[in-house]
Amino acid sequence: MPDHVYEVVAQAARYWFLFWMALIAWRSWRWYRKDGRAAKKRLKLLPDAGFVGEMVVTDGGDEIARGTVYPVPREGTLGLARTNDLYLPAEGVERRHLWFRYEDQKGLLVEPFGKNPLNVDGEDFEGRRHPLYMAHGSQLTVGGIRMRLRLFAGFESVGHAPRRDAAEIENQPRPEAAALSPEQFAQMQQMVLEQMQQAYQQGYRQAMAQQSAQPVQPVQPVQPVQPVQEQPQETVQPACAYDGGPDALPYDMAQIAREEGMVDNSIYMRPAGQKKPEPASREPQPETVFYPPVMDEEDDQEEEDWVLEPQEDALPRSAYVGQDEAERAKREVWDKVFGGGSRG
Amino acid sequence: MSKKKNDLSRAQRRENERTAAKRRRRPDRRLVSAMMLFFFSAFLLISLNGEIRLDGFVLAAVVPLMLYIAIMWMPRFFPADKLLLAIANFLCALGVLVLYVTDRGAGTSRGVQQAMYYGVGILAMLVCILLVRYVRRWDFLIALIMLGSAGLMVLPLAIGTEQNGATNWIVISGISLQPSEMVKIALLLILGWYMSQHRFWPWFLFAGFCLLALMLQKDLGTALIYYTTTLFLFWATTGNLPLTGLGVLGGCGAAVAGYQMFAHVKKRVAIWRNPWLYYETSGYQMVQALMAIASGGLFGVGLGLGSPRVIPVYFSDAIFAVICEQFGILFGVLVLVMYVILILRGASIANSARSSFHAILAMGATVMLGVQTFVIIGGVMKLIPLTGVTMPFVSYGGTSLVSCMGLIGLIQGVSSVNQDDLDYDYQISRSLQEMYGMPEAEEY
Repeated sequence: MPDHVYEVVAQAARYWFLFWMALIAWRSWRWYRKDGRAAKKRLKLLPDAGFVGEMVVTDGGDEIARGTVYPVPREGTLGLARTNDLYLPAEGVERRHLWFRYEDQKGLLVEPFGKNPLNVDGEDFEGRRHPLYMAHGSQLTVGGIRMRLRLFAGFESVGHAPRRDAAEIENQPRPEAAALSPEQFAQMQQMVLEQMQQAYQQGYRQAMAQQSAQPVQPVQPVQPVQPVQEQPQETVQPACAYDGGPDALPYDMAQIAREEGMVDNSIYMRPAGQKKPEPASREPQPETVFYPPVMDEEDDQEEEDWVLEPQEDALPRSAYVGQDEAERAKREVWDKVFGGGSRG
Repeated sequence: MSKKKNDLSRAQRRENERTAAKRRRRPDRRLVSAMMLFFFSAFLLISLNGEIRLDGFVLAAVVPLMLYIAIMWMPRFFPADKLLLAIANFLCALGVLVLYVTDRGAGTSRGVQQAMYYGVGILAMLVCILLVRYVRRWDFLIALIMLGSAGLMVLPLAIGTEQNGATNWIVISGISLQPSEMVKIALLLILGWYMSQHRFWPWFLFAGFCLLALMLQKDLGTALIYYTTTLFLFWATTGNLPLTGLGVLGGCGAAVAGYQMFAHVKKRVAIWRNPWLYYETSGYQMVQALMAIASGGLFGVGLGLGSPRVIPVYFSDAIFAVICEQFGILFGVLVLVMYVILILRGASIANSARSSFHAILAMGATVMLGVQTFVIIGGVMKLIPLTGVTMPFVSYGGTSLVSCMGLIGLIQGVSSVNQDDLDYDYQISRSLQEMYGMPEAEEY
């Protein structure tokens, strides 16, 4: 192309290039902004994204209100300075007190900066060679503040509030769902049925006493449980729940228990060898199978219950989530999403 | 009946058209199509300048195609950040274009060489992405990287050649390399690993060693980038303002000491203060760069016109002046906007990283690119004394381009790990929603 023609074309093309460059910059900027807005929206819908759990203050002294909740990220620091991920303005807490990191299937590793004092589940860090791991329900004491860790559903740990160190955890296989042997299961089933029958008999006596306005007779020793007798079709349904006699169980106790929400632990409380029930077959359970509720004696004996007492200021809902509920949700998510296996 | 069927098919067709239009309006397609058109027209125009040459037409076809492949196809194999990829590739292609323009009539082939380095850079980026995504046990690897990097930093002192006052190049079997560019990635990995482990001395000693080696090589521009990045990451991880302030003061003290010790630093500062005094000698480059920017005006002199080659080292240090001369200052400002978006994007990726190692890695790479851009563009515009560093992605030079693409690879790797974490959250929210009727998270 002749030089003078090219010069005219190139000078005209300056505006063309500037226009496209402006368009490219504008589109890049819009794309960046759009993604930023989407991320904000996502954060609203998934507020727990990026956090593995939360620390609930169980004893905050005068400085921090009991029930205060701190979201716990995967990694971070805890201390008195505002730059920490967990900012704890309390006496006895150093500027940068400790750092933590969540490790899959191990729990939350905590390690102090320098020689800052630290206590996990009653165990001091001082003089230890291995790091300390916190599991779901573990208690952390920093300065005068005591906090309990609650891991979110889907984040697997090695159990509930153990007092273990890293070496122990390394060598320990991942625990399976709490499975009972058939003998243990039958024994537990028998025990629960006996308790329920006793309660029923007590109720029956009281009802009878009220009806006849006579003093209540002492409860008779418990009889061995009889299998549930099928009522003939022509029998008229009793008007009162206790009309079937002192030893009869007119209703399916398992059904009642299920309705009252006592035995929805079927996901992880099942006899050994029995397969996990399919979601579709979850509503009507066969009558022969009975799932007893979880009874954790250690938890009952603890001074501080996992479920906090209601305070004047309404606590966040997460503080009220019981251990069973959190455990069940976690287990269900784990089974559903990963088929019970590890994430990788 | 037939009418109804017709209506239905029409509605279906409309729906299909709407879906197709929505797909066309996707931000990645819109951006990439604009970039492809820009480069196609630019290479077409420049190939018509003077004697018509085939390689211009080939580049007009190949560069847009490479852009399309790099931005739209590569992310099919791993979840990459397309915007970051688009901006980095755009800047690389801009570098190829400007070098090709300056090649016309000069008998050089830097544009085509840069296009080849760009291919190598994409490979380096892939390697870095895979490194960040799949390496889980870094302990041994980091120790190895540390040793290798220390060796590389010492190498120019032993067998290096001096260029523009600094001894930072080595020549191995005809290929000249700048080890400090390669060590950049290693430095970030080492800083990220030890800072996330809360171990102070290893990274501190390594960074100190690198700075000492760079001072001995008299490569002060790169030393400035290393020092700023390390200090920024220290502040980002600890939040310790007093010590960071002390670091800044120490840096200022080192700059003053460098000024007193090195003659070429004194000369550069004098040129910065008044280049017109040294117009015929050492200030010639600075003056020519300023004159080129001024002669370009707002809209430039026109692609292929003007005389960019009168600026010494127009292909490397002063390439921003060439861009401003050819396309105008407005275009130059828009190029800066692209850098700003790249840095913002890198920072947001670092912010959403779940592990501190990844966050430090992404933030370090972003800061490094940002500081390097500021140092060279500020130098060319006489905002700060000019130092001999390259303009990221655009300047001619294989090592620089490959290391910049490697840095982008680190950020991309972190971004893809973030995406995996987000998928995990999304899965959990879906399963919880199915079980408990929670509000559904939007498709992202």
